Amino acid sequence: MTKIKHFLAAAVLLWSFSSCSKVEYTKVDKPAYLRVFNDFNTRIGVENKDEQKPFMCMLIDPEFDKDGVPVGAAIKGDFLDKRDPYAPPYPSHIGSSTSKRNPEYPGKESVPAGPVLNGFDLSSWAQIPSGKHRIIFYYRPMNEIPFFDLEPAVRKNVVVDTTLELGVEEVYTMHVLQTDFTTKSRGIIVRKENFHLLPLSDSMVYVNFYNYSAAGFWSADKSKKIDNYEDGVMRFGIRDDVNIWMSLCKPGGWNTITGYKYAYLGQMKRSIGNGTAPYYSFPLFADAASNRITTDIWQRFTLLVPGLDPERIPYGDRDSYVDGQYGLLALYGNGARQTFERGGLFLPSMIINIHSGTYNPRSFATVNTLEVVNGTAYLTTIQRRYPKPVY
Amino acid sequence: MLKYIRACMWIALLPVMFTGCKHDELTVPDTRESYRHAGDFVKNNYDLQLFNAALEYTGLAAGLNGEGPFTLLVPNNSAFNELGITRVSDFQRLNKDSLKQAMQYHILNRRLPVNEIPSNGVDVRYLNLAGKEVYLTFASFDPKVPGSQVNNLFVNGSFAVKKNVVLANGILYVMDKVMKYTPGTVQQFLAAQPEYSVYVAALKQSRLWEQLSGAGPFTVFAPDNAALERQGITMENLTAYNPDKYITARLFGMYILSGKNLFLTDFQALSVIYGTPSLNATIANDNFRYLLKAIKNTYQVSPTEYWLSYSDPENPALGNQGTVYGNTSRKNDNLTDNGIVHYLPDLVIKPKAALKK
Repeated sequence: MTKIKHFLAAAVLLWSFSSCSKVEYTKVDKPAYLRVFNDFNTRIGVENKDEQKPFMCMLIDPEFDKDGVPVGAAIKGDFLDKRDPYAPPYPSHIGSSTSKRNPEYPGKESVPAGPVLNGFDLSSWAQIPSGKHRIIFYYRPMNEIPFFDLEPAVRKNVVVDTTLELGVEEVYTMHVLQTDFTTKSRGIIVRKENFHLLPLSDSMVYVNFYNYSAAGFWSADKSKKIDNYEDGVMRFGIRDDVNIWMSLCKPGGWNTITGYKYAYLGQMKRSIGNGTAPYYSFPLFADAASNRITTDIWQRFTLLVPGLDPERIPYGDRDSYVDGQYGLLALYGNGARQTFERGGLFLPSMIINIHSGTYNPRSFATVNTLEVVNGTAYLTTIQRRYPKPVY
Repeated sequence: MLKYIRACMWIALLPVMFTGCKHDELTVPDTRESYRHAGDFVKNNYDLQLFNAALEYTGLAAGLNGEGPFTLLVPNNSAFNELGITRVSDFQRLNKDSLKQAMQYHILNRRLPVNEIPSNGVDVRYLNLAGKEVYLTFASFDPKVPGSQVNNLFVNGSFAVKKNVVLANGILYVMDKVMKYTPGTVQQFLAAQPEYSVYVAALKQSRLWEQLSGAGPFTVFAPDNAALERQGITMENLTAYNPDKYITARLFGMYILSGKNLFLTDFQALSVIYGTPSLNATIANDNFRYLLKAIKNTYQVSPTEYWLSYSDPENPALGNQGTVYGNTSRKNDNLTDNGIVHYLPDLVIKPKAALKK
């Protein structure tokens, strides 16, 4: 008994040496949700070597010293690099990298992430206070020195300076981009998303399209553009007005499933504006042969100028110069390039196949945005929550 | 009860075991003590002997052992040999003040280790002791090859053969070329060189001369008198030059690349950074195109080589014609306040090809 008492006394004594710690949780009152992409992807070479590399720092509500050099900000999104072709639904495979370069904001930044809003996972959006904000993007040198530790002389190079009003619990996607290819003017797009407000079904896959290319890009001489084989037939840009035709295919090649060969979706117009585009949809289990648990279909989008029939495309897979009339997007598997669809730009499939519940894999429908910027396209996928895997 | 209190006291002493003692007198060896000062380092390095001689001649040597910090971009002996300076005594023939300026041009007033230079930075400018800015281009990696390490450093057309030598009062780089900066404009530079006098006269006569005093930047590939004479253009027969007979923009104007600020090593660096090893553009005020490419062998550290040629868009099958090759390092990469002048050993477009049809 005494032994126990001794032990207890010792434990109390030791405990008395320790102290409590209070965890301060970061909380944003009346938040707006913000995700930022750097869409600059134009060519820099010997001919325009003095042009700034699109490596940036975003400052929200910056403070300046007497020389006009920013010395602090309410929110800082540093090391903002050119965006990745795929913006995943949650930031896991961005956050696991060791490089400081951030392909999007918040991306790797440690900030309060968005909640699950009307069923949609907003963990790739940052919470920021709603209301009026001044947002400035600065060019920064490509090194690992945090923005405010840089020399004042290199902290003055503004990309865009804007003031905007963000609403409470609204979801915003912001793009900083080149608006005109000849004048090299730069701008910003703040898109107020509406996917969380629409009655979208979880058994349908949704996608909408934007063309945020710089004015005059497609018609400019191709020697001024990046000649990237990975971008397929679309690499030198697409015209301002194109039709979108969707095909759903079985894996391994060009095997369309019944009823989904060149289904007409709508038009895509080049527009640098803040409007949202309509969503087009197709059933998750469009393939009648699927077991309705998992499906392996891939999506193929043909972009063609009005007047061209997708059944009779005058250009071949190996054509590199299609005069902006033809673009081909292949959303296949994890987005790795395949041996077929040589003229295609490969992006990951819009259908998420993942271990969930007792099924491995199980297919989930998502809401997607395809953004064409100059000679390339980017996919953003938003997912709902799904049940945890049971092993 | 006493036993109980004693036990408690013993237990209370327990945390003491977890604490350490404080050593206030611990001294960490100062790593800088094993490094030499800039002046001493240069003096004790045989390959930097000529640079040291220039420092001693101009009286800069003593200052380099001072507080600093400095970053030295030191041309090695072969860099000076290229300019015809092979012995320490050769400096005696040079003007002390302008040599002092030129040497101060190679010393930055800061400590700049490699990891503080922006990766893949192009023309990053740093102030030197001469009060001017050097253009630093650092081709550190190929963005298309993740994990690739190139780490080629170029300053004003010279290449760093040795990087990041730590000094007590700074950092030292060994360069393969002396940086050549001449105060004034491209126009003033060309006018002061007797070897370009015929080209200068030709530019004056064809009204291409005035622009060279403007803001620029200009990159000029200047053909010397010998090159023009080989094509039958001399000071004497230039007075008989008929601008109605020739396309002047093609014959004399193609060597002025307006709006460009190109050191020859830029091509080597930018082929790593952006994958663009050449420049293909239209000749100003003409429909012909020119192709310019340059290569620096960074392993053998040979002089930068360049090729300049032209193509006729109406005859694409003929391809690039009239290629002129240049590697006369000592005459290339002359920086001025509004551009860069390189030496061109021959005409790219011969007078016959520039005839009006």
